[in-house]
Amino acid sequence: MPTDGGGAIVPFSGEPGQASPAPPPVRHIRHGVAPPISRVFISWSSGNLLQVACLRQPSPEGGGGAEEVGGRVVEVNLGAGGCGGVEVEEEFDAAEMRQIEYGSVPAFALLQSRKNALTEAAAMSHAPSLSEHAEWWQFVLEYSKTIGNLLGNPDSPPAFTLEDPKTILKVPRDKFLFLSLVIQDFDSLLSKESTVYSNLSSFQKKLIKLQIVEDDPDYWNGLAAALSVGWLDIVVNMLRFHGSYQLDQMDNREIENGLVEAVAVLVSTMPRMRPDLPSGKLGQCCKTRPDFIKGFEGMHHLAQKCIQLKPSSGTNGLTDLLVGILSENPEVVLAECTNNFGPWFVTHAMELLTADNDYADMMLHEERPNFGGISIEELHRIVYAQVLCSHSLTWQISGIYHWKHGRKGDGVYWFQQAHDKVRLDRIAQQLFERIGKSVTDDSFKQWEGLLELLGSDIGSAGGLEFLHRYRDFKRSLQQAQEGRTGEAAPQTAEFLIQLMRNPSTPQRFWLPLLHDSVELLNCKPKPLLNVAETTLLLNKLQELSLAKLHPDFSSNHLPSHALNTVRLALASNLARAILEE
Amino acid sequence: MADNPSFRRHPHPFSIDLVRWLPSSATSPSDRLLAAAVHDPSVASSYIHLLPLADPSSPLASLPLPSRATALRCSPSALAATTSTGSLHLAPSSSFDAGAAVAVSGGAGFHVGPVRGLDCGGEEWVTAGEDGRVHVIGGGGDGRVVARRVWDGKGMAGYEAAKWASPAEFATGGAGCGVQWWDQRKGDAPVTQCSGIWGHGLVTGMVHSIDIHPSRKHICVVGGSSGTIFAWDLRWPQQPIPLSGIGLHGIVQPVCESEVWEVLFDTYTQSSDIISSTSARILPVMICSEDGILAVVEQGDERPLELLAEPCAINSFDIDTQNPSDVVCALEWESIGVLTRGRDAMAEE
Repeated sequence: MPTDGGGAIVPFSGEPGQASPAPPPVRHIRHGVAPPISRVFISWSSGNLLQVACLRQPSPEGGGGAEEVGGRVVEVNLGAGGCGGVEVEEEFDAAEMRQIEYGSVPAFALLQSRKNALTEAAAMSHAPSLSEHAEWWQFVLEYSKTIGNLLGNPDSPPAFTLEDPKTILKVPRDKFLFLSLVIQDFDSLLSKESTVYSNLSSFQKKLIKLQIVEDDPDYWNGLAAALSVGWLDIVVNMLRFHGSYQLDQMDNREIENGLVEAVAVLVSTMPRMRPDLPSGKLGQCCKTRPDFIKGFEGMHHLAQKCIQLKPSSGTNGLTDLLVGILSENPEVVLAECTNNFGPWFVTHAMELLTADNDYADMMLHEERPNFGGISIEELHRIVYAQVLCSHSLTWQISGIYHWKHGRKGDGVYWFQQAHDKVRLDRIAQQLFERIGKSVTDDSFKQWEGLLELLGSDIGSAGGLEFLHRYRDFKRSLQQAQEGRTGEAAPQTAEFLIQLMRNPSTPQRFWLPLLHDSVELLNCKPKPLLNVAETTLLLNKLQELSLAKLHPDFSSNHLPSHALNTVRLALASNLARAILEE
Repeated sequence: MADNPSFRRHPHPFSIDLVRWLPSSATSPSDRLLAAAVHDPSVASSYIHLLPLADPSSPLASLPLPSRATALRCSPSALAATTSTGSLHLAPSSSFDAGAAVAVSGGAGFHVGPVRGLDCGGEEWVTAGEDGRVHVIGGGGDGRVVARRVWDGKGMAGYEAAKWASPAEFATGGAGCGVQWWDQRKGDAPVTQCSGIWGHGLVTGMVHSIDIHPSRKHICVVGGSSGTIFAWDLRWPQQPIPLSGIGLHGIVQPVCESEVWEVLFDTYTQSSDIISSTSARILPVMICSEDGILAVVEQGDERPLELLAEPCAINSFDIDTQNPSDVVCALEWESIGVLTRGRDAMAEE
């Protein structure tokens, strides 16, 4: 598709071989991305929706303008607005279709749970495959009826009628019903052969009384029934009863008679999947499935020619589907469904396909390496789910999205939900380094919230654990200074000792910690730290003084006399402690 | 007394994000109104619709919004909505037209990003957004509104819910920061906070909704992620009382396992234990959840009363303060549900 710099995407709908193609319709899309646009991606979404993604080159300044739009995805509805080209008959509007989809979920879920229950029961009792289960077939019929009802038209014709194919084929509700009915019909016909026989014999009795045979629906029902069970000779005989054969009507109904005779001939040469036929029986024997398909397709082609003599609209999709069904070719059925109808139809039709067809069941459930190990059924379900999700305008909120937009709290929450340890570690690391640089009250308050969120088990080398302890210490210190509870001071001292003892406490925090505690150390009347503890602190202080001589030592924000203040406080504390003991 | 709730589902061509009863002086059922925040996915536009209870599918009036609504509240005098772009819109209840509506636009001066905490308290409104900011909005006279920034968490915390307790106090809750209590007489910072109860080995959870009973202002009920519902009694601020949740083995049964979107004290359901209803007991609470449950939860061993179990999420609900037997809810699958409890249900049918 050609695009121009002005941001107009032009759908090109000329056909090869046309003498002078009409000027392609132009559709302007407002994507709001400032030029230069470096990339445009186009793909079809569901139905008439086209998804266009416009991206611009990220600016070299990095986080220059937070307000600048780096890219946008736009959905263009080509169906509405008369853009020309294909004319689509809007059978259901989008909202109606969504309501149908919503309604179909409980039925689908029920069928799946029933399937699972029966499979489990069958596995336990070593019963034959699912399709042999009488109950199972009942469930499938119930399911197809529910879905059919959702599509409207609950009073569906019970049998295959040739009368008016147009009504059956016009709207998708009937397409689904047609599909389910054909499958149902075969089952009901095949499983009740005696009924077919009794139908035909009762019709035979009627025959004597009937004037115009072809007006009686039982005639056609009988024909279809006999055809489906392969009683070709009966079919041909019945066809010859057709009114067009009457001599006195020849003039008006010549074409009709020709058609009926053609059908009779076709029926008599119908390909049949069997090694041989008893003599006198009609039909062409095909020993293998491919031969059968070939023969069937040939017949289908001839039948189509007949149909074309009597015009009817848009039956192609459906007859291909019918061929697929009759030839028990689930691949064809699926392909036709996918081409002609939406993913919703495919997902639900699949349930019917696999209901009584072991081959279909196996084919659809087989794991396919070219799909990444999933089966065709799963693939279609995923596609369907994708289509459903793409309609929902609630975007997946990720931790990264929140974090990038400055919502650190939300970001961490979502990372935690996703068990994204890598990112949480990185945040913890950043936090640690940031606080490590300057342990002022203000900056710490800012990060306290984040610390709370992260919890204490994230972070390497116990870094966050230290921060948590430091936070506890600070809180306790504040309480002690406010004189709120009498226990605060000893508690704070406890925290201090724990921190100073802990090998994971980085050295650069020692002096700040001690400096913060000076007031605590000078508390009256009793010293809070005993001799051993004070000695420990003095040792640490000594270590620190030595380290200060080291050229690498980074001095922090504390005043220059901080070390001395601490030393003095500790010394006096030691003195008092010794006196106490 | 057997309750036979009647439930009616009304499909709507748009997504219903939030739904509220509109307080009115009308007593007859045909005059009662609903306010719904809706979103039309086909053209990506959002509105507040005024719907009659008799026919909730056809709006009487409509107020356009710049982006999708994230909070909606109705007070006797006005209707307020906040959006995902951080704007606030106030419309007087009497005349619902775009001209009379007042807006505070989103941006650096107000809120950046979605604002989900919104509540009306007498004359003032409180907003709390995912950007970590809290504002109190009051009328500046002659139709103007003035927004005062109470707090700026600078993104450290993101607020999801806000609720007034008294003209000076309110509660907020958010992602990972639990719940906070604010008292404007004691300064701008939160007075007390509680990280809440999140079972199942979760470090933090997200608070989605808070409600405070009008006659027991020291007790908040909080609903959040993972089906967690707890009560926060300010007299014991670090001991939240669990009402429901997963992973709280032996303490409470979970009424649902997914996000609890909204909680409300249910004034219709009598507490089953009236005799010993001391002030320490938590009154019945109604909740709606992502897994399609609408239920009433009580403290103690009482089993939760499940009113609805839908195949789709229930995103929002409201109990009519004037007729507490009636509950309206917003279903994920583009429909509004109206639930009527009590003997009146039979008469209406």
